[in-house]
Amino acid sequence: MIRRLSNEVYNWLDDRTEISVIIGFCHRQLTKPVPRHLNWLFSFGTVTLMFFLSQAVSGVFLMIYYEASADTAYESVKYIMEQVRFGWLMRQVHTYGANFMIAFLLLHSVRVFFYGGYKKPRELTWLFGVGLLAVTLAFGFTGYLLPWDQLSYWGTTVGTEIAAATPLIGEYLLILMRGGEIISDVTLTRFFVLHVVLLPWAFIALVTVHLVLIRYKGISPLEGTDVPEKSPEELKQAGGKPFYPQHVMKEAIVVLLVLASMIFMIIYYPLPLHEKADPFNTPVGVKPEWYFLSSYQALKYLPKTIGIIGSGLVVLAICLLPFWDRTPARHPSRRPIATSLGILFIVLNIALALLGKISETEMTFMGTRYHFDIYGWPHAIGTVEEPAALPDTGGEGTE
Amino acid sequence: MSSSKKPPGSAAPGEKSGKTPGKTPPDPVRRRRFLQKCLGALGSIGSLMAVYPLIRYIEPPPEAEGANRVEIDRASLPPGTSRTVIYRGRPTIVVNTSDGYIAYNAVCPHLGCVVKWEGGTQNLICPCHGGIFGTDGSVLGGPIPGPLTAVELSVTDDKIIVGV
Repeated sequence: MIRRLSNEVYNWLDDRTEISVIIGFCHRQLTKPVPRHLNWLFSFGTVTLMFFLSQAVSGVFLMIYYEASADTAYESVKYIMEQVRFGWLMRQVHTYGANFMIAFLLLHSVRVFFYGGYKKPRELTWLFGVGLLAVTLAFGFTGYLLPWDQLSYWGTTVGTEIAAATPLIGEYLLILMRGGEIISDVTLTRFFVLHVVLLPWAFIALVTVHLVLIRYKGISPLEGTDVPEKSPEELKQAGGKPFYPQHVMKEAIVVLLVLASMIFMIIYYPLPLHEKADPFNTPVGVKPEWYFLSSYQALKYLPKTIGIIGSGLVVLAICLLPFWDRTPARHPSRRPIATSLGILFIVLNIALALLGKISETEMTFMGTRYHFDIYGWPHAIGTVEEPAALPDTGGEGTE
Repeated sequence: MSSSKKPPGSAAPGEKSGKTPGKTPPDPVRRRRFLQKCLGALGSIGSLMAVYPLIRYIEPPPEAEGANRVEIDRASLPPGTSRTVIYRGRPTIVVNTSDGYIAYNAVCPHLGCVVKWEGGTQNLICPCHGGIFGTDGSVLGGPIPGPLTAVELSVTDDKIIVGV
């Protein structure tokens, strides 16, 4: 009876919308075979997409109580965390989700680089991917200010100040971003509009084209660009598995594992809300979020303008990667120079980020107390005496 | 049987074209292209005209730049203390030093943090990256690219006036 009814509804809809054509197209896309070399690393893109959806849902829920005004933003976030039922969970999911999303997007980019997935004919897929990375970082940057606490206020002050070093238009850019000389109510509303309206639509547009291109061109093979790519039938004969259910199952397992680790972090290491922003009181050792730490640290070693131009050139080189690396090989072992340069770039970024993390902190190592200056170099500032041994009480247990 | 297409206005040898020799009729395709280009140019100009007010809209209006003159009661700033106020949209630090009152734009030229007065050392310091400035605004330490910018200051019997 139910089947008959659903068939009737389906036929009625099909007569009017030709939905069977759409369903048939989706089915063909889902069952399209993927190459045999697809391993767990090929799930990072889906994990990123899952986090975008999670951010969209938790963001909408947060907006129910959030107030984008310098006078009330902090209090509204505090209210969400302390008064609203499961408000703490919603805010933690959103804050951790942002970090996880950026982390997996970076991992996905690294995976694509090492597997040569950006090479012909997938240059456009790469370009749209770089656009997605830029939009995601912009999400992180604009969202960071919204809680309006000391860390977010001063982190944004330092972050926007870096933009001021852009040659010719730096000062204008700074004023445009902040809506004035300093971070204020005007900046908060600007960042809020960017964060909840413009960036989500930009992300949706870019990700749609990115996914369509992936489905249209298929997953990049491991053979070089000089070898003709296999048709879906040839892929199937060569041992390729259908995208659904084989690869989708693999992705589902990764998504669940990542979600489990995020829940673990939320429960055991919840991210705090710091003191309310005070525009006259700068806290000691202001640092941006981890994903901006390496560029932030690099700017300490270089004059601001050179640092900005250098960062711009690095971004441009990454965008144009498929156009200047035209070697046919895709497998990482067959292009040792690109692989070595990629590893060097990653190691350099991690080293800079670590130096940024430990800079302006103090640490005890082998009985000596060190102060790490702004460049991350240690300076011994004294020794730490071993605590005196406790007097022997003559017994082991206590009653 | 020949069915070859002739371009408009052309005629086979010996055939009368019916047109005045030396005058070719206007090519409709060229005319259409020209009109398309005109339309494109008009569209571009129209788009630019629409973008201009949008950019001007997001630029902060002049009144957002803040007060041009700030008054502080002298009694509220005893010797060795400081006060930070917003002057022309920028945090400005006013200090009552042993040598008199000083006022500087409190935004550190390094990365935009706000400097503080440290009474013990009689210096202005930036808590962000350890920048140190003397009472004359000069750099005494830290990764600071330049000195603090002095702000005009005048003192009356009971007021300190920042700005003119």
